Amino acid sequence: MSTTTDAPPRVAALPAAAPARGPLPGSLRRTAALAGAEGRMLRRNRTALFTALALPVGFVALVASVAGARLATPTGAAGAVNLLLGVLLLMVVFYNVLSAAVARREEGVLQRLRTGEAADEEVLTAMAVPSAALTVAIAAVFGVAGAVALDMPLPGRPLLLALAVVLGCAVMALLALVTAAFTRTLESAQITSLPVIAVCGLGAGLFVPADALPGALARVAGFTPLAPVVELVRAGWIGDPSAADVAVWTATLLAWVLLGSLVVRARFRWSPRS
Amino acid sequence: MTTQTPAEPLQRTGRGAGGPAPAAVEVRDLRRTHASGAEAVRGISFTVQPGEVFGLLGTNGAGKTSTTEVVAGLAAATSGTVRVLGHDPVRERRRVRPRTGVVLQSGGLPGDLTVTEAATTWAATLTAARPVGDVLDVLDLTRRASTTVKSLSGGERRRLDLAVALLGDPDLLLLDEPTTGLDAESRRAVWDLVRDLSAAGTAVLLTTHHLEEAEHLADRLAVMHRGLVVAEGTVADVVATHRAEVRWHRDAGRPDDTALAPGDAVSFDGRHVVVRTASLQRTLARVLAWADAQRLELPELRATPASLETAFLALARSADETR
Repeated sequence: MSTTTDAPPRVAALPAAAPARGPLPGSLRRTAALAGAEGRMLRRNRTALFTALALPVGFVALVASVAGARLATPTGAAGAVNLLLGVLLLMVVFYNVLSAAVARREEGVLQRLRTGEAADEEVLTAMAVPSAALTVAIAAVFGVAGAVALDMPLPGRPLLLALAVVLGCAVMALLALVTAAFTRTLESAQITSLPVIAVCGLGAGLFVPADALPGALARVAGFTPLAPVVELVRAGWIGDPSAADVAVWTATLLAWVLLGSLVVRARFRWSPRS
Repeated sequence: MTTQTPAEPLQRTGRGAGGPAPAAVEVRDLRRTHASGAEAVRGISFTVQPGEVFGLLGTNGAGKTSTTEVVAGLAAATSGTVRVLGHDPVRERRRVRPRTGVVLQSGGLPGDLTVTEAATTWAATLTAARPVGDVLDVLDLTRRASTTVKSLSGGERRRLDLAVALLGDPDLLLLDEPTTGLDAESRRAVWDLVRDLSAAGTAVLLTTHHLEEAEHLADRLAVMHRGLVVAEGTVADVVATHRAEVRWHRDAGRPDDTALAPGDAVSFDGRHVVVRTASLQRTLARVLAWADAQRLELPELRATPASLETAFLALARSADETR
């Protein structure tokens, strides 16, 4: 097409489409491409980036100054990591994925992506990957920096810690997508996110110690989405949990993953609401 | 823009050869009712053949976009059948998507990505993609390659929408109001592009409310009004559903004007006499001869040939009257 002459567009001169090449199979290639684009948009979104970086860094500084020498004990380290991970899962994974889902939907991006070859699951997974990766990176930096600078002990059972991070990211991303289904605009996300943040934070003992809750509430709190993450982190650092406990925590998180997936499949909106 | 000759020029290669190619789009008795209960599409049928540009023409709210969304597999039909390149666009999405290009009315490319990033990302999700640079070049977007999508003008965004739709070398293009927001020159260029694609064998389903666009591009078209197809055929077929007219200002002191043209439909439209006719030249000659013989002036005399616009308006009016 030329806007300066009457020459016809040169569509006939276009090369034919060439099959995609690369080391990744189709699904992973599509997810990686979309996640890369989502990562670029996250980097260019100053508000989201501030939430993702400044908040955890400030939080770490606060924890380090308050906990002091207690960070050098396994209990202190586990408590600090739990607080940090809780904040990261809520503010970086949950809130960023919620914001991204609502923004992309209202821009018409999700509907457009649905006209392409990427499957629904690939599109939604790609939206969560940058925030999840950032969470893992910040947590890892905190762990290493804590060990080097604050004599924080390393986790005794790192696999439990990894399980907590992976399942925690999956659950919070799914909760974000569920919340997006009920969120009309980016502004209203500030309201619709509050119940999830409140319930998850309270249930996991981020705001008040879990044992300070009344008996029945404390028992229910153990099944809220973040509570098993906190237990797995604590067990990974200091405990020697029974297989039954680990199974219950893992099953609770998997149940949230299953429930979230079903609700997303049934209720997620792909076309703009406004 | 570069001018080198590519090694592999665009051509349809008869994918799925071995028998007659299925229709690019086949819609039968399609109905679509929204969750609100509003019936957007009320039982329509049409077929788009390979290499054909088929226009869905209608006013806002006629059901064009609702129809396109079903054909694109974005929404399920409430009833009826839709086949795209021989497949169900919802259930057999994986077979259909690699062979279709879609331009939605709402655009839908992320505003924070640059032109190149948006196109490259899309290309990376395709089974087979044309080189991004070549496609941007053809759509005259090379010089805007580093500009973010949100900084593009409306016309540039529309061209990027088209570029993305062309990245996969589609057999079928679904274009929903593709020239909305374009200036006259860009609109002409897009029309040329669509004709070029059609000549190369790509089927195009075009929805528009611009009559000139439908007239210029569509090999065949269906006129939609309130969820129904009220006329279908070539532009000439649709125009033929409406008659040309001769009209003039009525003089109250004159003998009965209706006696002037036996055989033609003479009526009154406010203070005008209107003669509707299938043969404008013959009727106009007869009216002038009659006026000459009567030594009459025919004030505000006007002869209007049948056009897509007059036919479209008449079809819409007629459909409203028969509701």
